[in-house]
Amino acid sequence: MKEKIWWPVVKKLKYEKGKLEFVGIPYITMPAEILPILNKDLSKIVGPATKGIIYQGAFDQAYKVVEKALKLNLAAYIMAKLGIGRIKIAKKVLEIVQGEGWGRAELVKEGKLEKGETIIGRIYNSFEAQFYGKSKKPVCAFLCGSIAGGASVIWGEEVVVEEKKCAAMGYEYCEIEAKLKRFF
Amino acid sequence: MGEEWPILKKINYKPENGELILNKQRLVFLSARMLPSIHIAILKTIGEVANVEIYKSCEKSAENYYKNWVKFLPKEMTKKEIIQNFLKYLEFWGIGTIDIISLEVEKEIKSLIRIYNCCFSEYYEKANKPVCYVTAGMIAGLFSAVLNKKVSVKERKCKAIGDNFCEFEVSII
Repeated sequence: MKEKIWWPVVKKLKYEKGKLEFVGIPYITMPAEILPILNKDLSKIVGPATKGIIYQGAFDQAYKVVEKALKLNLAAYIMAKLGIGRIKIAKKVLEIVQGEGWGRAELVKEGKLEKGETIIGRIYNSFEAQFYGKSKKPVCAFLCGSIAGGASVIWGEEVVVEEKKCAAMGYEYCEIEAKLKRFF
Repeated sequence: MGEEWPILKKINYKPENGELILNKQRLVFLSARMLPSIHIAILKTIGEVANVEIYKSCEKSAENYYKNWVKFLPKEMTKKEIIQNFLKYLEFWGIGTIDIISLEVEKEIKSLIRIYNCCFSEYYEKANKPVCYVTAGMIAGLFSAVLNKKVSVKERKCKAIGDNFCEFEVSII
């Protein structure tokens, strides 16, 4: 189990003289609290726009990473382009998210986004919720943006991800809902 | 790119939690562009005060992180050795190649840290002054946690403005 999920991340990591890369994209390892504390502190000054800024930043970066990772796996890239096995590819991407230490991810409702259906996923132990502290609203903007960016590559059009439940609000897990932007 | 990642075998992956643990603390992997993209977007929204806020947040979270780490280090390690060790880990985390030009922990003399190929600076286009507030804040938190004193870190040279490296001056306040 450990190797199965950890290995796809480690196998594609490269390191040389202080430079870390994942699928050819510069990566960094950081204390998990930096991003959530930044989110919380900036929210006090910038207000609700912080959530959108973090979501969009995460979306753009995840889009690039997943696009590059898919192109390295030609079969998966072609399958995604043809609309075959997208859920299976999405599950693989979630395994990578898990291997990056962001939390344990699972799909609880699969659906055909291209037909207007939604996909519901859960993140247990989200690092964003853990270090943000208690909140009345969902706080995992980075996770939502990242998953939306990755899913948008797989579905070939913009996917929107909304957090409906968040561990920072007291729930056992964070629950997210994905749908295509055109059906939003 | 071909060395074995020096901390690979020290990271404990817990699949049941989706956690990466190093020295009893949680880490995450993310694209090196993530923090600069947030910084740039916040700069556009609130102006230069964003630099201070980014620095303060990174300082606070890094100080907290390193304070927890210090607890588990051998008591015989000196403050200087601990800082050297932590700076080496920053390199392993992918920040860039770290060169300690001078390190002073007892007296009020400034320390000087250089980072070659800083992972953040390349994302700031058309910069006309140093941009690495994330790194500066992290270094400030690192020194504060070890020395138990407030420190100030200023970036004197930066790759984003054409210098060959990023250089950080650390002062004990």
